[in-house]
Amino acid sequence: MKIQFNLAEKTAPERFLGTRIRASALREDLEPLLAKHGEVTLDFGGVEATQSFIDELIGVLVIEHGPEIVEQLVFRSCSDDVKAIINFVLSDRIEQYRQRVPAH
Amino acid sequence: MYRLPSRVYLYTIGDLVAIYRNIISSGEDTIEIEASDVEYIDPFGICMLAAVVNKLNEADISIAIRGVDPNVFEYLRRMDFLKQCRMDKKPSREGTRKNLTDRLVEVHRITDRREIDRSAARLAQAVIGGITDIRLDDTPDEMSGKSEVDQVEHPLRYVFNELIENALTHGRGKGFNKASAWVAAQYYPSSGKMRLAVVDDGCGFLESLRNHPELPEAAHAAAIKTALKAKVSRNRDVDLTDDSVNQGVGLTVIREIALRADGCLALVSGDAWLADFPGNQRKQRTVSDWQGVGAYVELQRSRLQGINLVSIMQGLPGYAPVKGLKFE
Repeated sequence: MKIQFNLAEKTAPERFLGTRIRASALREDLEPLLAKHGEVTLDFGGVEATQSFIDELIGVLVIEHGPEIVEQLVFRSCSDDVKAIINFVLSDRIEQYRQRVPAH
Repeated sequence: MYRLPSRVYLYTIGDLVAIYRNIISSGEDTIEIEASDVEYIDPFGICMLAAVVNKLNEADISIAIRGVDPNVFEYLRRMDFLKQCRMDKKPSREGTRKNLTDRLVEVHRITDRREIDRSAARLAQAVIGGITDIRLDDTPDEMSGKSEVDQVEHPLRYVFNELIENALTHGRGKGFNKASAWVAAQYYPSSGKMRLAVVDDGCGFLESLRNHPELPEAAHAAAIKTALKAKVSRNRDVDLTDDSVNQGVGLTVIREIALRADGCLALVSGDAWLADFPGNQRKQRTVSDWQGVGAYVELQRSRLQGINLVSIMQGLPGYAPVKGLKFE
């Protein structure tokens, strides 16, 4: 079952998400949802974010769980800026993970 | 008696730190700072002054600031960081000085990472509040989907968030876990420039990178240059036990935003002062030793609306669209 994770609702009234400490708290909410529901839709509608925030929210998931975790994520209503940041964060962290854990 | 320079700003930050060093090395427990020459203080100057006063207070040194311009006396007196100083204004000489009050912005200190978002928002809004000709309605631009305020606010928020985050995460490494950050910003209507500054009293770039294989020598200037390289400070330790991870591109992106906005990024750490300008222009100096990092960003307001974060991210080394990402 796919479940929604709405960032604007969880961080209201803040519309610009900038800090690792905020993202870290959200990731603690996100991880059990991924484990329980398999796929989670991250709704970025109405918010912007920094690379640090995105890295802490989803880049760390790749480091902790491996690149396969990306298949469980759906990104909804992202601005062009947020899409670009997500692509950078995930490509960088997947590369980093694969350097550490070479494919068998 | 210690004397402040006439302009307390980017190019005299080292002089201010030298005064602090001289006071500490003198062993005096009561000092006077003569401020009658001061004509101009920018956000970098006010942040460093706040940090220095705080360090002197922590060292139980009693401070008197003499000869403050009457036009800025009340303004400075409101600031928390000067409450522990005795401050005297000099006799007013009508017509000899411009009113500086509207050029100064209140500085504040951040000690808790949970305050970063709120502080960054407050600073960005203070800067935008100084822009009298901006459209405050929320009508989005058809091309970008952002309102005029968004187009200015987002790059400002990005820069502030990342700079303060750096100060309170990296700055708190290597035993400096009580480091603070002092932040200030100002918009200058006559030139259209925005100036932002964050000063911390943390471990500094050299301590952060001392054992890094890409640091060519154990020198502060080399450490700043290394920190500006994308992904150099990325954590390679993936045995994560807390939230202190880093991809090492924060400063790279800030520098790119500043240069694309016809501005500059300047960094002070240890005895090194380095400033990057558009056209690959770099200035570098040796200055009096500051334990921590001072960061200064200048942005031309008229260029901010053209800042394209997408192209900045796509220009980072290693950027590649990830196959199979699901965007709705």
